[in-house]
Amino acid sequence: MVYSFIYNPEKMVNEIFRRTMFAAEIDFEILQDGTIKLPKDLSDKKLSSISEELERFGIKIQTKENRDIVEEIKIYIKKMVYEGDIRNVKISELLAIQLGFSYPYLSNLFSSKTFTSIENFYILVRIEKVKELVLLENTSLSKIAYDLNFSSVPHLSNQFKKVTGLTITQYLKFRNK
Amino acid sequence: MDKLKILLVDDDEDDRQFFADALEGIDLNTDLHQLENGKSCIEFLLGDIANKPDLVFLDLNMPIMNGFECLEVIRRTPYLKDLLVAIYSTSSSKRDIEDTFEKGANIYIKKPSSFSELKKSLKQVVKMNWAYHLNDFKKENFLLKI
Repeated sequence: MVYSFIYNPEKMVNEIFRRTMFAAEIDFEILQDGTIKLPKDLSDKKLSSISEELERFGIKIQTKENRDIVEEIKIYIKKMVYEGDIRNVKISELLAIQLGFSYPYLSNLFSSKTFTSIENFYILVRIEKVKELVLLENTSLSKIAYDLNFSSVPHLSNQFKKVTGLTITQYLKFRNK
Repeated sequence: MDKLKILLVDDDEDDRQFFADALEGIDLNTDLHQLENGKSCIEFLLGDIANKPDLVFLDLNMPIMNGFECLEVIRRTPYLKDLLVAIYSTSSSKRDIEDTFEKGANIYIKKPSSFSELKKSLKQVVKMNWAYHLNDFKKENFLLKI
């Protein structure tokens, strides 16, 4: 018998976090933006012990001092493409405002820490969303192009071909093998 | 940035050297291991968990076990089936390209005739692959033809 599992990663992380804090007897507060507020008088020893426990599950504690800006850029771009409205927006301006750094700084940092640029990553994320949408039936290319800020269907098709080397029709054919 | 672990499986020694030089030339953070046929590839992959690469380049025409057979074994082995596989072949036949994508390849890259073209292609593959390697995107949606 083969079993598969359905799980909610966010719920899992919250539960791991809650249990770790409970075991360590630490009070915490989850703020509206999803960050966690820990007591001010938390000792370094205790912080390092919960940090070690959380790392067993691949969870890293991030403070203002050790911000992973590249990860924040990636998360923000994915959030905008998947949940926000990116029609007629300039992602460079939004990133600068959201993260509190100039765009040239963010851009240089991203390129130095990854194999690509912010602009390219933004295109890749949009093309990923296109793939998911075309795999769903009844999603017209015109609507996809409009929602994902491509100037036209040919522009969308060209970008898709440029990124994947395949036409949307070929992609669907191979993906639905 | 972690090194991207690449495995190249190709029976042609010159082609392997050509590939290694091109990879070194594009100056991306990669670590290359080379093997000569599909059988040694499967043995290597199953030999040690530390051997599991981020991306495998498979030639199609090889002795003992060819690229098609090797790809089939990878896709039906639970421990290996999520590996990103790039077919790296001299063939540009539509049938070979379709066959490999249908058998579960993620990337099809035709061996270029010039060194500069190979560097350009490898750079494109690594750049695209990076986001999948970090689980930014769903691996099953990754198809790329160069």
